[in-house]
Amino acid sequence: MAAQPAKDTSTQELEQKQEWWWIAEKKRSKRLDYLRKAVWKKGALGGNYAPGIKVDLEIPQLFTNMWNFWRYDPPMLRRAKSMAHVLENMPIFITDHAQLVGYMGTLPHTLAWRVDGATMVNEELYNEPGVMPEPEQASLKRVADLNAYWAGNTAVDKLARVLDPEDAVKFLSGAIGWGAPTSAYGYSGKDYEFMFAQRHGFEDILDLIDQSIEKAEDLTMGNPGPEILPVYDRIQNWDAMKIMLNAAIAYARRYARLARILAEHYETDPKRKEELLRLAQTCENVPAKAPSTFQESLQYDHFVQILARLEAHEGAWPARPDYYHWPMYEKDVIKEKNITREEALDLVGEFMIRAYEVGGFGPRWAREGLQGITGTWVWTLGGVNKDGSDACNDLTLAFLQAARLVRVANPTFGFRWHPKVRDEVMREVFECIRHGLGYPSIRNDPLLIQNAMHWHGHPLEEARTWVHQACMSPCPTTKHGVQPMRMASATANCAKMVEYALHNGYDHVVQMQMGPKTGDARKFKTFDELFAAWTTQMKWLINTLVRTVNLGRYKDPEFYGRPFLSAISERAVESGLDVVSPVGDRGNCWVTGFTWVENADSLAAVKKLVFDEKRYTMDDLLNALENNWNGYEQMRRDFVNDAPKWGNDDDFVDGIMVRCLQEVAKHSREIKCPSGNSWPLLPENVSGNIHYSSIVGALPNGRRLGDALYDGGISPGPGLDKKGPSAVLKSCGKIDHVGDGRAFLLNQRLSPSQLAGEKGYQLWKAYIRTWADLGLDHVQFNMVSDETLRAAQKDPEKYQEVIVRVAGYSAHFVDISRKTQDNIIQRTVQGI
Amino acid sequence: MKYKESKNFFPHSDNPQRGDFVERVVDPRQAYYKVKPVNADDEIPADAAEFAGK
Amino acid sequence: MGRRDQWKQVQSGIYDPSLKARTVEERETVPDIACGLCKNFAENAYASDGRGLCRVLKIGSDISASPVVYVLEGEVGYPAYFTTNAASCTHFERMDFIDTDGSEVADPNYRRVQRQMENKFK
Repeated sequence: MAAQPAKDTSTQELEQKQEWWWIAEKKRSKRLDYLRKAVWKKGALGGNYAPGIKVDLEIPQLFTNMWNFWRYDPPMLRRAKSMAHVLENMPIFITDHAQLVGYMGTLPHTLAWRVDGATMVNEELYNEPGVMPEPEQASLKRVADLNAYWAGNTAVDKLARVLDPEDAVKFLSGAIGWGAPTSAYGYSGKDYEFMFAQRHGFEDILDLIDQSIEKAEDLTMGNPGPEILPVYDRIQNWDAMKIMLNAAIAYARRYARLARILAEHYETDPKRKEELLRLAQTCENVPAKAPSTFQESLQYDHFVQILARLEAHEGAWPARPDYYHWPMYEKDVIKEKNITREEALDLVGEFMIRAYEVGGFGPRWAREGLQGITGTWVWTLGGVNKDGSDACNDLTLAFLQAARLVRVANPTFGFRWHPKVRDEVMREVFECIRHGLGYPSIRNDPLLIQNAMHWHGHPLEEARTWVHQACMSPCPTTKHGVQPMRMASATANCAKMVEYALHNGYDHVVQMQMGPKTGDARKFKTFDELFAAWTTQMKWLINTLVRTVNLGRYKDPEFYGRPFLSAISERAVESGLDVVSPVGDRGNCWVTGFTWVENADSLAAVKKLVFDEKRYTMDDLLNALENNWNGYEQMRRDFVNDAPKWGNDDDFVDGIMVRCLQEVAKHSREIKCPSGNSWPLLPENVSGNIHYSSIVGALPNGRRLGDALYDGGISPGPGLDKKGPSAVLKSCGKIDHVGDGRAFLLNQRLSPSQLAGEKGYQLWKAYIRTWADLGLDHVQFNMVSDETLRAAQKDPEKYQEVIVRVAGYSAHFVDISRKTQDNIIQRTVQGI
Repeated sequence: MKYKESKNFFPHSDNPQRGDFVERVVDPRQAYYKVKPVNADDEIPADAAEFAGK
Repeated sequence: MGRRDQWKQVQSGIYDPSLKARTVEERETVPDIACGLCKNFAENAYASDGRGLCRVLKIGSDISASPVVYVLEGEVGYPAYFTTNAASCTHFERMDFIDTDGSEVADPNYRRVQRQMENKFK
């Protein structure tokens, strides 16, 4: 238990010390305090799960038993029947004081295990320390048996047999990218327009499917012809969707029944009894019907998210809660006053907590790349309505206020800023940042709408519905705009582009000829030769990843199949196709660019010190890099200090950055997703900069193998942006944030003491205006002092609740590895 | 002891041979009620303790 | 051998070993001289299930054969598991383990995070 401040410590004193977590404890309701502390945090501490966290073996066992039983069914039907069995038989629970229910494991401290996703992950789980439920020996035997059943038969195994073997080996080396090319793991967009805006409960969707089947049967029972042949498969898919929807309704009603049993047989407190009966009614009504109260609206959404996560390991949580829950909030809180604002705030806080507790077993690369969390739950707030008017409302404020009360590291918020946002809302946004949450990130709404239309051809109204598909990428929530499955394996470890250009495509860390042989860099005579090699390596790296994802997406209905996700998507309900099928999808793909800025800084250093000033030769450089700079310290310092670095408004290096991005953008239009759309770059990092620190070799920016990489996106290297925040913004402003890529992450650290009080708010607001005027699409802030962070390193027990922005997500500072902590402290604190 | 003999067993109205068995769990972080569907005639495992309610 | 066949061979060496037949006992056994204890073993950077490549031997080697086959030239390392018996391998070099708790981050060359390795550090 963390050490508490003295009871008589005033809020003012705590504010002065910026110990916002104690203020939150004082201010939140008893219910929220209990529920917040009740959470078993599933994010890994560095790469390890916290003590007490165990893998759930019940659900994989139930699923496997039925999967084996229904082995003669096609994939989607087989999955639906197996999942229905899980939903009917898995243990469920209701936490004391809870008003919202649903979890993806059978007990609060369990991690879900996607047993049919990848043999590698299954084997990793078997070998993982600490996560087997007691008795350990029996659990090991059970896991070994399950692994034996699935070995060679998981979604990734099936895809690996179809991929080009060279691509498979290189992708699975872990050197150039991460993620898995299957909907068993990934980021699934939800068709919120279909469920919430159009008000379809699951019973309504069942009616729609019945109508579709009826029409289809007119064909299959009519005149024979080739056009009716695909319809047979579609009917099977519709059957699968129906099974899932009925099973989901029954699953929710299991909670209703439990709540009613508790109210009638166990609960003695009349107030709690009333709450349980309301919970029972809520779970009777949703998801069967469209929600009619605010609580039902939140519960419907949460059931949808949990059910999708029971179907697959989903790594993101695209959502726009202040927009889609506003109608019921407005009805209950503002118009009819059925509940008070405080009661609504409790529900909002709990809604966030219910998401915070969600977690599945992830492979080590995912844990290290997302230290402290189990997925990027970036919820979208603010923005505009379809007609372009301001969409911010009182629920936007409630989410921002609840976030400061519950202080969870996941979900976080991305705020769609636009010029019409009211000052009242901006103040609440700023308060969250000032309280050290690291969120909301600020997104430039008009620019990103333009970007969505530019790259993927979303019509204006559709583009205006966008949500964060994962950390950063805007994706609509409509029938054709929603991206049902972003497979994260188009995530490029971009620093390898320059590394391979310098080493003739050979990877000295994984000991493999990875990229094309672009020539011995020792013999390069001009910068253009090096840049040409870089361009070739860049194209090869992106192509390898994109080929893998494209095939994964195309084959997914055969290799995995998503009956539930299909059933909540208008496109699939209408067509009878698995929603992961690219048919009818506008296409909203992007290549996530980890470790991107190292390319610009490295190329600039070689250009200046080798080709322009001729202070060193390529031989010197290659010798130094091959020795990881050992024995070349003075030279390394020259490459760090005498070469221009991105983020200082220096045209030499900024020009190289823009040139690199334009090369990628050009290539992005040459490669296509399964829907025929482009693959723009999106530089950002999560904590991949630490995960890859021992996988990327020495680089000409002076970095050694093992050193942390930059914190990502287009953020300057930590401590290398020496000319102040305006220079950072000006450098970033040289990028065309519409045409050069999909989005560009920028981390900035601000001084909490400078930004205290009203003056601080006005300074920050002016900064945001400059940021917008320069045409940037993203910025996120850490506003926790070095002093607090260093104190937290020394005494983690006392600072359990300190949150920091890592990159694209937030985490509790004590949950990230020492190297990541140091990397955050090293970032320049900008005085604005 | 069989599930059907427990006061924490609640048979399904459409099939009394099946029902929900409710357990009270207090773990290091939270207290909760857990339920799982069981067969009325199955034996209650030793680790599923009876409880009297709150 | 064509490009595709060559890479198929690599793929089957690295990613297709049959894990089905392994019992719990087999999974739990780490030989006293195992690749996982050798400083020349680099774990796969993608899967932390214990697969990896040798940094000295190249594909085509076979340290379980008698006599052992050593291939020292090639573009891909020799695939092995942390539990692979390296008793016959003359390139085995025992590694001193420093950071073994896995709370820091990936380092293919030095991490050994498998539960079965815990006893080997003590």
